[in-house]
Parts: sequence; structure tokens; C-alpha cells
Amino acid sequence: MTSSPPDAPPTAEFLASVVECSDDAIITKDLNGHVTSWNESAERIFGYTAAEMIGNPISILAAPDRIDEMPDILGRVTQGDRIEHYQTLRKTKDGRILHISLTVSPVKDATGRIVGASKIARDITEQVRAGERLAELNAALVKSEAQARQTRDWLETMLKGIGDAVIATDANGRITLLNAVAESLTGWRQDDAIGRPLDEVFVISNEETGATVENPAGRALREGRIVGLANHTCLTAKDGRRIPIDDSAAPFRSPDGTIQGVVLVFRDITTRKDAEQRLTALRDQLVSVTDSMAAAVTRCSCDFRYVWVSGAYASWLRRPKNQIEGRYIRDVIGEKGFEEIRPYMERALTGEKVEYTTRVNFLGPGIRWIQAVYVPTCLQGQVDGWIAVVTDITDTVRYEEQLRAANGELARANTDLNQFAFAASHDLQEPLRMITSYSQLLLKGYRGQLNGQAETYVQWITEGTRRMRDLLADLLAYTQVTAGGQAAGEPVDLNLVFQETLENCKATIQETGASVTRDPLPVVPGHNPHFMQLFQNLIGNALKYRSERPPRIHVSAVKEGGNWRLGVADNGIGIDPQYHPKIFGVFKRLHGSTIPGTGVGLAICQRVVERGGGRIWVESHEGQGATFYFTLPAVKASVAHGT
Amino acid sequence: MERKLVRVLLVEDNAGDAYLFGKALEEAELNFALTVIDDGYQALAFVRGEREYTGHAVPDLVVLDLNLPKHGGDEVLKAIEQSPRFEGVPVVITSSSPWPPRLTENERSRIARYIPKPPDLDSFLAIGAQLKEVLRDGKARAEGKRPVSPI
Repeated sequence: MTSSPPDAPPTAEFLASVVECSDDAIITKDLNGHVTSWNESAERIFGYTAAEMIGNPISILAAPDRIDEMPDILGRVTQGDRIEHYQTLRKTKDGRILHISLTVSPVKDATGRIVGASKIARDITEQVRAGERLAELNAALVKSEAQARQTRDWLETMLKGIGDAVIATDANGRITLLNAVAESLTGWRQDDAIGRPLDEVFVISNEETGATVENPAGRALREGRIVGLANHTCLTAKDGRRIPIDDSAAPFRSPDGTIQGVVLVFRDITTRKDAEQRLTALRDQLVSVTDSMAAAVTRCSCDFRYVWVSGAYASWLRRPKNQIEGRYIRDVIGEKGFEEIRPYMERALTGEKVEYTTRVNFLGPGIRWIQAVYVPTCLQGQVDGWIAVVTDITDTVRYEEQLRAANGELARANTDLNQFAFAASHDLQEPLRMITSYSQLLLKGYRGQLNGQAETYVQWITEGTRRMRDLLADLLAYTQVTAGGQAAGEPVDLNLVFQETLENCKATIQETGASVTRDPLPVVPGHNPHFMQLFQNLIGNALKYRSERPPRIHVSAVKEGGNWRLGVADNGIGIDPQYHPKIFGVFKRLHGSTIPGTGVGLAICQRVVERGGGRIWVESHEGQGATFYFTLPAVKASVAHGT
Repeated sequence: MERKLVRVLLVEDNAGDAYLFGKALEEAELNFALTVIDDGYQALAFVRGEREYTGHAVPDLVVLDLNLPKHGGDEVLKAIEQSPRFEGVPVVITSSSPWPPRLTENERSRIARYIPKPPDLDSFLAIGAQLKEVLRDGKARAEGKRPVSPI
């Protein structure tokens, strides 16, 4: 640069050379916007020569969308304003659009009047482009940072939200992460824990022995695989609390496969432990309940093993529990017994409840009669075994057999007795007839020849034999009720039986002025002669044991379920309740010779009724009449309501 | 009036009853000849006209107790059925049992009447009158008249 005295004003030439040398386009224009000067840089930037531009409007340079700003800029400069570093777009001669930084100043004449404007334009296109790339890069950076942050947030949220405790370490086993659950379980805050060796924070031991347990993270790092925790592991928290846990450790690797650290996931299993304890308690209760039961109870699994047995079961098999539980049924009760009950077990395994009674040859107790119930048990919808309740009924079966034998003997004895009673009462008739006939013959043939005393004696003999004859006849009738056999018999119309009875009693009825009435009576199965005995005896008794009044006798019939209840009611002398249980016994009489009778009639009635499956009883009070009730099984759809 | 002699065969093991039958026949005022045989073996011989009974006259009436020693009354009854000599001779069955005996259709058609032995003297003696009826019916039958009451 040419030197000049610093104080002296620059010469026009000097200024002109400065203008020409400047890298910026320096352009002047008049107030109409016509170019008045155009330096070399202007030509270089815009492509137009000074000759092409001077005298022409500056607006040639305006970019298509920036034409409007030019009058505006000119207007402001005309008012004396200076516009600095105004960025805008301009068009070159060859049509390129340039980023331009403009500084526009007013040009004044010597009098200070604004006559035009000078404009310094710098091409900042490169700058702008670089800026734009930078902005893009920056935006990309911001975006990936956001993504990373999002990933991190997401991981953190997940680690926070996860129910399990998570601790991560680096390859050296130093803690890099401790989530919230891990914080609360270990009692360590993440900030304090980070960087510490895992063993310091994650202290584990055996729940029962208290012995230190190897940290699974160490093994995961060493062996490069997922490692689970042994059972019964306890975590000792910072404050000394011991928490039963369950965990696993998994190594994590970088893309090239080197182990970068380990992630330890663990959880508090106190709740599960509690549930296990409750289950154990329940099992203990079950054991004590089944042990206190007289019935032998066991649970067997589907592979035919004993899972558990009750005390009664064990002692029944004559073995201690520990020699049964877990063993195969076949081995415990023997091949023979096992094969005998096998079909029942197999049925239970199909899900069916099985009940059976059978005789089994067991290894321990020998041949026994058992009554068993198998209830299948299910696990997740599958039959996994059964619970058996076994009752040894051997003694009962034996008692039953003995009872049957005794019953048979009793029945035979009864039959014998009946036959004896029949034979006795039948065969005694003949000698009795002899005594009767000949004592009568004596009286008849020797009338007047016997002295008074002898005649009385013979009369007593006759009297005695007559009574004995009645007794034998009734006894015979009584034995015949059973001798008639156990067959159900034929339907008998009781109305006809009633009618026939009335015929038989006609004389007494007329003599006593009795009224004998009835309800419509049913048709019942049985033997006609037996019902005749029944009606004859009951109506006969009602007539015989009459009071002072004329007898009023009514036979009622009421249907009660599958039975008829008949009643024979009278207004006679009645029976003191204390004698009610006695009157149905054979030869039981309440009256002396004042009222004749053998004491067999009601016994016959009872026999007839009980043989037919009914019962007989009396309701009466002395002096208030009596009602004899008896039940008879009804015969279906053949009830006769005769007259 | 001279009454016709009636021959009565009584097969009865009980001497007391045999005596009472005699009394009963007396009561009926019959002119009778009573032969009493007290066991089945002898009775069979009589019916068949064997041994000591060879040539014995055929009775006008047979009274047969069903309960007999050695051979039962039913065997005797069968022999009577099969005997041509006894054809048309009325047979009365008797026994101590209160129930009528179990008889086959043939037996029933052969017998004239069943009379159980009554438990008292008067009824027993009344049997005579019944036997008289049977004789009369038998006579009527022999003369071609219908019997009044078969059983």
C-alpha cells in the first residue's frame, strides 16, 4: 500500500484504488436507482461489466422474489438511514442466485444533500451454505441425542417399573446400575453403590445354615452363561435384614462378543415362602386329621405309589409310615393284593369316583374284607392320583356271616317249634276228644247212679277238657298263620271279610243289640282265612268286652302312604294302658273265667298283621272303649269300595 | 218192624272211637253188624277177600279212618276203588283232624262223605244219623236215583 501522511485526507486516486481492490462489490446509484459506479469485484460477483451496468437500474440484480425490497431500501437510504449487513438474495448475469450481505449508505454532495447511495455487497453464498450444512448436522445430532435419551429413559422406566430387582456390573464386577427395587431390597442407594464391587452390596447366604453362597454374578462372568441361584438363598440387606430371594445372573456382551458385564435379576420370595409355609401347615393339619381318623386314608399318585398315608393306614398295613410313603403300592401290599385292587385304581385314574367292597389278600394284614372309596385328585386338569379311604370290614363281614348262620338256625328252630306246636295241638285233639267224650258218656250213661260229688267231678273234667280244646284249637290256628307260608297271597276284599264276620257273629250281634259299621274297606294282598281270623277276633273281642251299653263297633280305613291303617273301635270296657304291651302275648288274658277266652286271639291277630308286613296296636283307656289299629300294605290300583 | 241188617265195616285203630261209632249207630236205631279192623294191613286183606277174610260178605257201608298204622287209609281206599266186589258200596272217610283231608279227584268221586270226628259226645253220636243218610243215598243210587248230597 502506498504510504501517505496519516493526517492528510486520502486522495481520490487512492480511494478509487481501494474501491477497485476491494473483494466486495462496491456500487453507487442515484436516487432513481440507476447505477453510477461499478467496481471490478461487482463485475466478478455479478458477471455484468461496468459498461453493462452504469446508467442502468440496479433492479436488474434483484432475485425474483426480492424485487420489492429495493425501492424500500432506497427509500430508507434517501432519508439518511444506513443499512448494514442486510442479507438478501441477488441474481447474477448467468442466472445464479447468490447470498449477499449488503451495507447501503447515503451519498451526499458538498452541500450535504443526498444525491445517491453507495452499496457494498459481499458474496456470502459459501458461508450461508456451510451454515446450512452445519445446521443440518446439528439437527441430526440433536435428534440422535434425543433418541439416545429416549432409549435411556425407556430403560430407566423399565428398570424402575420392573417388579424385580436389577443390578448391573461391568466386566470387573463393579456395580454400574442398581434399580429402585434393588435399592429397597439391598438398602443401598444407586449413587452409593455404583462403582463398588458387587459382593459388597449383594450379600447372600444360605437361608438355613447361614453359610456364604457364591455370588452368581461371578460365575456368570467366569463361565459366560446364565447362572441361577441355589434354593434357600437369603439376601442380607445393608441394615442386616435377611430376605429370602430367588435370582439369576446373565452376562452381557459387546457386539464383538466380549463380556462387558453382568445383569443380576432377583426378587423377594417372602410371600412365596409364606405360602409355602401355609401349605406346609395345611399339610401338617391334614396329617393330624387323617391320623386321628379311624378310617385308613392315603393319597396315591398315578404311578401307583403312596404319596402319604394316615396313621391308621400305616398301622393297618403293619408298617411304619416311612416304609410306605413314596413306595410302590405293589411293593407294599404285595403282588396278589395289588392285582386284586388294580381295576379299581385304574378306574379312579379315569377321573371316576370309585366305591367298592371286596376281599383282598394283603401282604401285611392278610386276607381282609375292605370297603373303599377312591376320589380322584387333579392337578391342572389332569388326574394325578387319588385319595383312598379304606375301612376294614372283615369283622363286620364275619359278624354278618355268624348272624346269618344264627338267623338260619333260628328260622329252623322256629319252623321246628311251629311244627311241634302244630303236631302237639293237632295230635292232642284225639286223646282230648276221648276224655271229653267218655266223661260226657259217663254223665249220660250213669245219670242218677253217680252220687252228687262224683257227678260234679265229672262235670269239672268235662269243663276242663272243653277249655283245653278251645286252647288247642286257637293254638293250632296260631301256628297255621305261619304254616301258611311266606307267599304274598292273593288280593283279599276286606269288605267281604267284614260281611262274613258279621254273619258269624250274627247271634251275638242280635242278642246284644250291637251296631257294627264300616268305612269302605280296601283290597289287600294276603290269605283270606288269616283276615277272617283277624276280623273275627277283633270284632269278636269288641262284642265280648262290651260295657253296659249296646256295643257300637266301627271299622275304619285310612290310606297312609303305601299302607292302609285300619281301626276297630268299640265303646266297650276298654283296657288300662299298663296292660297294652301284654295283651298281644300268647295265652295272655286280663280277665278271669267271668269272660271266657283262651288269650290266643290277639296273638293270632298280631301274627297275621306282622306276617303281612304291618303292625298292630291298641289305643284305649279303661271304661272308655278301645280302638285296635293295624296296618296292611296297600295293593296298587285295586281298591274296592263295596257296600 | 223188623229192620234189615246192615253190615258196616269200620277201619279204625282207636278202640274208644270204634266204641263211639257203635254207640252212634245204636243212636240211629239201625239193625247193624259192625266189623272193626284196627290196622291197614288187615283192612287191605278184608277188601281183597284174602286170608281169614276169604268168603266174608261185602259190607253195606265202609267207615274209614285215614290215619291208620302199617298201611294208610288212602291205600285201603285205593284197594276199595279197584275192587269190583266193593263197587257201589258207600265209603265214609273220617279223621280227628279239624281240616278235611287232601284227596285226589278219583278218591273224592269214590267217597260218599267226609265226617270229621266231633270233639263232643252229642255231636259224635249224631254221626249215626249221617251214616243212615249215606245208606239211604247209596240205596237210592243203586236204584238209579241221584244222590241227595255227595259230600
